[in-house]
Amino acid sequence: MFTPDLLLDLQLKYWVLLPISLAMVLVGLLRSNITYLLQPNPKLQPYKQVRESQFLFKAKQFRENNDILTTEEFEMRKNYYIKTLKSDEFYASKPNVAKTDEFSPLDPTQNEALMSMAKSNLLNYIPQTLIMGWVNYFFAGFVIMKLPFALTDGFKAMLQNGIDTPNLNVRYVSSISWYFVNLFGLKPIYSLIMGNDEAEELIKQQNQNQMPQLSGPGQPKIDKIFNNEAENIQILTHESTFDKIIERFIEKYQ
Amino acid sequence: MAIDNEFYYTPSIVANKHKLQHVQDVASLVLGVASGIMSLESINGFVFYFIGITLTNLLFYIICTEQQPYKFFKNPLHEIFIKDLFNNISGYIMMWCLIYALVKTNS
Repeated sequence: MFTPDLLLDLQLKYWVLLPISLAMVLVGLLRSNITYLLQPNPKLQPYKQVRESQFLFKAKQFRENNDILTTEEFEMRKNYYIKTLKSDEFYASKPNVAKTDEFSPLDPTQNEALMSMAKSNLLNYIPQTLIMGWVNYFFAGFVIMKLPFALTDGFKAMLQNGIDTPNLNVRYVSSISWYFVNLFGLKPIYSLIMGNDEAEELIKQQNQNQMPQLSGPGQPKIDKIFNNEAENIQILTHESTFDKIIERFIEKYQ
Repeated sequence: MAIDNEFYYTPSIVANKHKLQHVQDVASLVLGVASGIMSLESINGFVFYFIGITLTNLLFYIICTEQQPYKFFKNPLHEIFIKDLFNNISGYIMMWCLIYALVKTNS
C-alpha cells in the first residue's frame, strides 16, 4: 500500500451504507408493485378471432400428435381438417374484405403495446437515475468504505468521484461505488423477497404464449395460413402407435 | 427407459430452474456474509466464492436431483455448475463488501 490506512468513522455505516441499501431495496419493491398495478387487463378478443386461432391450434395439435390415432380415425380427421381449412367457415373476417389493412402507428392495439413497453422502460430508468442523483448529491465528497478487493487505477475516477486525492488507494471508495455494487448485487435479494410470485407468473405467461397470435401487423393473411396448414396436413405420413403393438409388447416383456 | 428430449414439460423445467436459482441466491448471499466475517481480501475472496458455490451445486446435484439430473434439467451439468457462476457473483460481492466494511470499521 502506498498510503497509510485511513481510519473510517464508525457512524458511516449506520448513516450511509445501510440507508443506501435500504432505499434501493424499497424502491425496487415499489417499482415491481407499480409495474404490477400498471399492467393493463387483457382485453377480450372478438369471439370470431378466438375461434379462428383456436381452430388453427387444433389443426396443429392434430398434425403433431396424429400417431395416437388409428388409421381409420386419422383418415376421417384428415379429410375433415383439409375440407374445413380450405373453406372459409372459421375465418374471423372474409379475406376479400380485410385486404386493405396495413400497419399504421395509430392502430389502437399497436398503440397499447407500445405504451406498455414505454411505461416499463420509464419505470426502469426513472428510479435508477433518481437514486443515483440522490446518492451523488447527498453523500458526495467523502470516503465511505474500503472494498475487500483491489481494482486497477482505471476505476479511480469513477469510484472515488468527488475526492480529489491523487494518491489514495483505489480500495477506498465513495458512496457512488456502493450504489453500483448495490445496483448489480440486489438481484438475489429481490428474487428472495418476491421469488414465488414471479415464478408463477412466468409459468402463466408460458401457458398464454402457446396460443398462436394472428393479429400482428407483419403476419401473413389468414387464408394463406389456413391453406398452408391444409397442405401440411395433406402430406402427413401417418404411423399409428397401435400398429404392431402386440408384437412390441411381447418382445419387451419376454 | 429412454426419455426423449421432446417429452420435457416446459413449465416444470422452468420451475426447476427457479428452484436452482433460489438455492444459488441464498448460497451466494450466505457465502458473502461468511467471507465478510472472515474478512477475506482480494483473490482469496473470489477463490472462496468459487469453491463454496461449486460445493453448493454439488450438494444440489446429489441431494435435490437424486443424482438423476436428466430427469429435471435439459442440460444438467452446464445448467447446474457453469451457467450462473458469474451471474451470482454480484450478490456475493455486495454482501462481502457490506459485511467486510461493517467488520473492519468496528475493530
